[in-house]
Amino acid sequence: MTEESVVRMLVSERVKILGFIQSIVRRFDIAEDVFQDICVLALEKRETIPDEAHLFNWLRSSARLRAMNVLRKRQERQKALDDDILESLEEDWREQDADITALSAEAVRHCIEQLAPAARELVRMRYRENKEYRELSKLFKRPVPSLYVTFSRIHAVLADCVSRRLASEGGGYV
Amino acid sequence: MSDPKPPLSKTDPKFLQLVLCYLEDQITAEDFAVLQNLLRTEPARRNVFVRFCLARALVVEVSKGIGEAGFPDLCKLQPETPSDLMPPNDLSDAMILPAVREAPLEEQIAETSPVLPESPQPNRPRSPLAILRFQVRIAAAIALLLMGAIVVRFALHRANAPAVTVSAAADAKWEGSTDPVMVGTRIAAGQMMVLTTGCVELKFAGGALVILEAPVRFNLQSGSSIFVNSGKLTATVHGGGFTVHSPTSTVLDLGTEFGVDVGQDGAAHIEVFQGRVRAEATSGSPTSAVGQVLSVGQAADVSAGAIVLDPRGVNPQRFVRRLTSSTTQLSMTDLLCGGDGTTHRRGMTIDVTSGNASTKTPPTPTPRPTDGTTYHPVPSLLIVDGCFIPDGRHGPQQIDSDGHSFAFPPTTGKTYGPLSAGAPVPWYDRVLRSTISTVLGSIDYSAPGHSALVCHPNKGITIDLDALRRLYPGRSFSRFRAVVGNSFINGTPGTSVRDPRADAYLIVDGVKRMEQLGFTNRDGPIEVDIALNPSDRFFTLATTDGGDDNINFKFVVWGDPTFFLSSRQSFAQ
Repeated sequence: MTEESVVRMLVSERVKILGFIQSIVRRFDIAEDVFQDICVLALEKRETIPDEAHLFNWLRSSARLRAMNVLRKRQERQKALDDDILESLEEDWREQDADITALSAEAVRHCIEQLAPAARELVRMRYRENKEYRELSKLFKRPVPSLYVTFSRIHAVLADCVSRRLASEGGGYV
Repeated sequence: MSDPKPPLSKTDPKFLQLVLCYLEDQITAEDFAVLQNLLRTEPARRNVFVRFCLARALVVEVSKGIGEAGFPDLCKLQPETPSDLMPPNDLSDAMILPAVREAPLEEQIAETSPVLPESPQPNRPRSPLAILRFQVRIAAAIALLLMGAIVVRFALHRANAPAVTVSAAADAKWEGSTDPVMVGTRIAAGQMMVLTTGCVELKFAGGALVILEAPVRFNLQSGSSIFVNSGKLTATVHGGGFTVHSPTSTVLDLGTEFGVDVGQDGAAHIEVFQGRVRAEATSGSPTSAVGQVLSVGQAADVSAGAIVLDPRGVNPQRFVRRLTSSTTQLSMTDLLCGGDGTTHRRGMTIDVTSGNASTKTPPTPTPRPTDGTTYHPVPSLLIVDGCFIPDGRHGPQQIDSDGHSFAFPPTTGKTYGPLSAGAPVPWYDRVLRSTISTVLGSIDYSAPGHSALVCHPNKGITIDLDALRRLYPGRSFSRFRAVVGNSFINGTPGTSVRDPRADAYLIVDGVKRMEQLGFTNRDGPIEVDIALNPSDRFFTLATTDGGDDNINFKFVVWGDPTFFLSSRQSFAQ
């Protein structure tokens, strides 16, 4: 593949791959590092990759391998999902790959804008300002467990909102 | 296309909380076992898990890229009054998405939005035309929307479409204009621009934030690409895909922060502050391009057909990285170590007899006589103007490159060891083989949270405040503060000297702003605080030997030497 086509795919598949890596390593910064590592590798190996389908499979398997290696190096292997579970999840990830679209980002943006101000502020502080739950707990004077309940609802509601929006545009489901 | 899935909000909330706790790395071992068991045994849970992970990744990614403008009414809320943000009870779904109760979101939006959205048809059969339209939208979105970044050569660029917006400016003017650059100005792609003074921050349509420092000549190629003929820029990009072209190089960002300095000859110097970039040296023939990935901390020089790594790595003093910084204090120790005053660097030594700066541990020094009062530049540190041995035996001596002079008292003309910015200075003592202490009073200024300059007499060093101001456009220095003292302890085994005397000076543009003459180790730390003015240029710090014809045991330490910046001016829109 040409460098241009590899870069194009890396950019367009970024969020899918990042989501996959985060599901293994969990921490955003580590997931970003893993993603950048495989970007570099993909560019280096581009001449041995025939097409986009191969590249995507290679990205997925490389991401999984590298993510597990990172956990092993950090001596956090016990925190990782077992191999058989990761294997079982592959089918669902593939299905999501077919469903998630580039329009999802715009849909998420739209749905975040529809959130209630308090929920939007939580999203902003957690994911844009990178504030930890403990900080949010102090700031909002809410116990941490209550924030987990709230955030799990926010994500579920946003996911459903995005699905509806994509469906209305002929897209897939998140 | 797969079948519609049940809404996540209708699935088991406890399971969603379990997944969130796992993703936040806060799950207990017991709950982790439960999660693993559910994922192993229930396929439906696996599907929910994947959808939840993906949805969260999207929210995280989009939140990073939205910018404050995407949270328009949130910025008005005061964090000090959290009760305004959060109802007394936990958030209900209605409070999370107030418009969503029974009706679909889009229907609710239609009631309040001035623009009627398309009618929602969540389960409609999809015609081939709809699928085709959808596929076209995917392609367009990949090019233009997703994560706000893509390589320019593939972007669907429309000539004259607004490519960037000026998001901040400091004392900036375009060539041919006497008016200052206005924040909010939109610039179309395809224009050759020349910034003659100051700095501007440009927000690209693709999401990149680019700071350009005058003089710089460039061409905006698209919402995700720029061609720099000459001059400096730094780029910060979430998600990568931004490209900087120069006559000899192409730098492709892979999700990072980096700087490019293009010389008049077209050669480019590249530094990577975060993440990675792919650098290519172009030679006119695509088949002979040389490429290399540069990682965080690495720097390289790129000329036609060649990429050469710079072993010195990044130099934070070379590029302007912030136009809207809220920084108020700059550590002189960090600055002397090549940092920008905020990077907590340590371990640099400067030989004031030559101007050589090094991070290597100095050998045990011996007192060195010097060749008089020669003023030495320190070329490896951009904010340092020069250094010297203060000695008034020959009258006033040069203390900066502008020719200002100062009349120090007569000294031995010798010095001991280098000026040390956080590096241990071996103490010439056959018994203890120790290093010069950095403890003044009860504080060790080498400890975390503090900083130290070990400045054993006789030494002087001059900072170019204009070079420092360059890194913080539009800001001015208000004060310099530190403590100074002698860390020697009377009665130290192997020594017979008591109460060694030394002198300390702060001089600006050849005029004394502070002197502390004849202080001893028994005086403890002496607080130093001088005002700085916008017109001040050369700031000199010096220590001399107290006039007793020896330099022994004068362990002069400057603790927490700090420049204070004025309050941040608002350049951003």
